[in-house]
Amino acid sequence: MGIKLSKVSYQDKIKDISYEFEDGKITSVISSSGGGKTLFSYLLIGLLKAEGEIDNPYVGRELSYVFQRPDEAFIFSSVREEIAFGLKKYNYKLDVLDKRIEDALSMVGLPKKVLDKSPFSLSSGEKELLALGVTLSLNPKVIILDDPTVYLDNKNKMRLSKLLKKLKNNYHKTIILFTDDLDFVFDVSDNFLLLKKGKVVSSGNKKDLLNSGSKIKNAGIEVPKIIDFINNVKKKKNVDLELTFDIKELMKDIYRNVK
Amino acid sequence: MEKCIIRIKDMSFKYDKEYLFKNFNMEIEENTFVSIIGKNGSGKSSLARILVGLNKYDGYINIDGYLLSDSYLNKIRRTLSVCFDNADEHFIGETVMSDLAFSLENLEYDRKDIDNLIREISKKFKIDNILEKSSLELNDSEKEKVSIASSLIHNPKILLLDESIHKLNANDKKLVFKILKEKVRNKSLTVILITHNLEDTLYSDRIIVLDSGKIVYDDTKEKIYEDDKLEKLGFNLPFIVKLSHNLKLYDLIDKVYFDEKGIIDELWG
Repeated sequence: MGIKLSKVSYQDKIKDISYEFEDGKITSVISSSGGGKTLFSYLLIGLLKAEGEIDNPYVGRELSYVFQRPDEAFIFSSVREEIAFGLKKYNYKLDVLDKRIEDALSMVGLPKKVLDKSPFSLSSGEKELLALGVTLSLNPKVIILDDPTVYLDNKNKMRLSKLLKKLKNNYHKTIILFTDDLDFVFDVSDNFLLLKKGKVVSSGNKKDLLNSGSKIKNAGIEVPKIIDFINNVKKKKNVDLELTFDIKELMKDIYRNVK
Repeated sequence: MEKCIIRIKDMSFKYDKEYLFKNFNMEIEENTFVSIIGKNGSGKSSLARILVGLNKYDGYINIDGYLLSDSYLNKIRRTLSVCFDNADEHFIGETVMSDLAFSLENLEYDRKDIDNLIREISKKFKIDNILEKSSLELNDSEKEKVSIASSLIHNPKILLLDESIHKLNANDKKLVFKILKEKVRNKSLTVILITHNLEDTLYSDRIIVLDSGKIVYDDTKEKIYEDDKLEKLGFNLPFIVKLSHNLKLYDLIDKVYFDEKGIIDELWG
């Protein structure tokens, strides 16, 4: 059973949310900046107390959280100590420790040579990956990431997408993303939940997301350019193209239509 | 040809004992909109920190006629304004209003001028309804908008944006870029936009591509996007450029477009 919310509210910022996060899936909570993303994520992990009911069977190290600004969670002067900190807390023996640290690092694709560097000296993309590595070292069941792609370039974004899919498919992790990066959402997630001013305005699977274009725009979120384009073609020239996130599919459709 | 407002010559800079920049050269012309792009770790943020005097460098950097050194830093900060990626850290004042006033008070403007400038800029940026709010009450998009507004309030000649537009929501982004483009067109501002999101480069005239502290491409937007060279470097091309390339491949159009309207009209007349 997954994390289940019924009638969850917080002040006037989160309003009456009922939803169950499916276990072993990637779910994205989509909202514009200021739409209550971070706040909602804090309610989910119990950092803030919500009204209503949150049934979260995962506690302690089963659940891990990657902050939007990884810097704010770093406290040590080397990457090695940063990863070791959580592990030591759970009494891992020293000989296992080194291996787990290296495993965590290679899982997120960071080179070993960063181990003795200061976490603060890493580039913003590397910091995000390190923060994820730190949480993975503890082998959590649920991983929550707040706006993980804001500071990532394309290469690191693809790396993160691959990693999240691997964590889901091979290790059956439950992953919850809080984001407004729709390209990324469509790439990785199975389910989505769209918020506007703290209220759920749409939810469902990937296919439902394709058809939520106007709701997404309405919630103040940038619709992927490709969806915008397809909608504008319809609006301006009354030409129907199939909604898709895949430019190759769009091309075929345009070709059929124009020829 | 506009004059050079930033000239970097034989600049070197070490990070963690290794050279990030070695004999680096770059020139930026006045009243242009330049994007500097690069992947995480390419040196683009270090370059920004060098340009505002936060990183010490070897070599020669001239900004609007002043040698970039401690003795001219105050002069340079009047002419070059910077916005970093963490809008939270930017906030100094208790309210948006006092934050906007801060740099003007420092530059010893009259109270009357301060009030006028605040009124003017807050109207432009559509933040006149949040002037009394504290930064804690703002959402991320508003925070970034305020921090950009307060970097522009004293009319600097150069605005350096270091990854500082990613939290702007779609509408705010449109507004901010409109304001910036207009100022560039009126020949009252040079914009240097540091970003990893190539969609944002469509607003600029010139694109400089950094990789490991070196300039690998430096050209007009048209030249940079005429083929898929940036894609080969691992960048995600702007959608409209990708679509243009694909349509060219199918022989449906014969050039790269930077706006949707052009493509739609070309295809469906």
